[in-house]
Amino acid sequence: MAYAIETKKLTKYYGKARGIVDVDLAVEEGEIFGFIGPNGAGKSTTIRTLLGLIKKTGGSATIFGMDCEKEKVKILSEVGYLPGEVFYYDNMRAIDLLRYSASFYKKDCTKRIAELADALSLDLNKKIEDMSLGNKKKVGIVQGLLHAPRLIILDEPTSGLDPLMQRTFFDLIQRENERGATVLFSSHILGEVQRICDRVAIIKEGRIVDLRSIDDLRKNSYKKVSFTAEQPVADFSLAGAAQIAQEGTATSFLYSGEINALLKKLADLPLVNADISEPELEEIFLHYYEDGEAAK
Amino acid sequence: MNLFRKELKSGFKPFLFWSLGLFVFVFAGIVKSSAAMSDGKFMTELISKFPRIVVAAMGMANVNIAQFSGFYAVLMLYIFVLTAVYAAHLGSGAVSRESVDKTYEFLFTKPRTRAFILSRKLLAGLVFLAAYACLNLVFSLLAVRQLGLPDDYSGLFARFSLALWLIGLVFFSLAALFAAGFRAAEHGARAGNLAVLGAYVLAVAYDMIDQPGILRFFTPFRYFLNAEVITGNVSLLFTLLCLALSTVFLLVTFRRFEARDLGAL
Repeated sequence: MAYAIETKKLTKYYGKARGIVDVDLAVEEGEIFGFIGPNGAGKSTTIRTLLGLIKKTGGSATIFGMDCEKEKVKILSEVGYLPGEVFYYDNMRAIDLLRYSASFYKKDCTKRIAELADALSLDLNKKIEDMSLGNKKKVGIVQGLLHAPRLIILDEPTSGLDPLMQRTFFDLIQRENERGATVLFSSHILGEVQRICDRVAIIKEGRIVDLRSIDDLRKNSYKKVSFTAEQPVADFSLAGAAQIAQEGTATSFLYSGEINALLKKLADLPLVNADISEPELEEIFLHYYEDGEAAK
Repeated sequence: MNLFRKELKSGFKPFLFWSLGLFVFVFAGIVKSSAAMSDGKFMTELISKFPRIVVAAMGMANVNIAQFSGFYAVLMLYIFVLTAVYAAHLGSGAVSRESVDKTYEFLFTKPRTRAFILSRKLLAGLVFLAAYACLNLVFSLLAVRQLGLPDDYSGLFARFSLALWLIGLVFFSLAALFAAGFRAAEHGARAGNLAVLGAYVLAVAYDMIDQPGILRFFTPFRYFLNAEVITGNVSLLFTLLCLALSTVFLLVTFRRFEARDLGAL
């Protein structure tokens, strides 16, 4: 069966400037796939290439087995897209914009519009120019989902939403996923990716640096280790330890490797206290970047 | 609401604004013609004393403004320029408006080809341009009634209005081409306006030179010469040239627009 999204060596240069290089992604149907990286890493470039807004320089990109450039119209009828910043026709009311949006699809979206607006507490009769950023974002969510798409592409979707509305939004996305929709969720906020995604690709400077399940990323790769010794431990080092931070008698680091080797090392120290736990995704993520900097 | 209707709706306010300008030009111009005609000999002598460049710049070369048809032809040069600027605005807006307003991510992620969307936008622009030419005819007919002239000028007005639409069409498609070719919207719009200015300068040069030769081909403002239109001719050659140029410009516009990256400008 074809992947919902599949890219092979997808590359985009803006003139000589790097956009993305050799991006390989394979998003399975029905999963919520996270796509994380800091601003400028290439998340939006990848998404815009998938949507046909920009032309690839090299490689290939397919959605549901269809080529993103050659079969763009067929693909877009199955895709709902919510950009990071929403811009609409200011002089329109929300309901007019949503009806206009619905007119591009061969289905009656009236009921869905009402349901989604109700779930998000959105006043459809308000003019878009009179709306707050958060309400404009709600209009964006409704217009992205009103045709019950098979693939939902979200690019930094929660900016402008208050925490309560973010929860409603995540519930909505999870319901869409239960309905069978595949979700590509791009963000630089790792906590929200951690919250709903099954797998995650990490992009750095235009290249995918890792791709794995959220559980795998957290449980099998890194441990967050911290200990306090009787005296300061001078120049602590251990193969597989990264982000080593020492302050007085306290030491903390991220550890990737044999757990027995870690325990053996710790056992040799005059410990007062020790803690081994799962790191936050943010901490793991930072690791990829520090590795990169060191490599330079 | 479909895309074409939406384009008509959003372009209606600017159309009203430009139509108001046209109304003022046509009415004020035609009403003033009575003064020029009543003192025709004096005016003709006065103009003959002006330097030729001034006469050419005012569009008064090769016309007899003591007659209503001659005066109307001078007025129409200004209306041609006005229309050309509006047409250039319509053409560049059709191509780059969504990028300028940053609404391109909404529209161009809908299941339609870029060619479909651009064609509806350009079609709406052409409707406004045609309506503008029709309004020129209507305003001219209404204004001339105020003068109580004995002759029927409806044919003259219709020919000039057709010429106005054809000239507008060239600038419309040329501005669309520039907008599709330039990465920055303001550069495309500026190029469209410069094309109008350049064509006007060439039109003045055409009127100043005794044997301008092929210069006529480079300025749409001289595709339909006053003498020809007043005597009942709208050049078939230049009508076909307008249509051919517009077709070529629009075809290249579609190709450029299809190949470009869409983004905020």
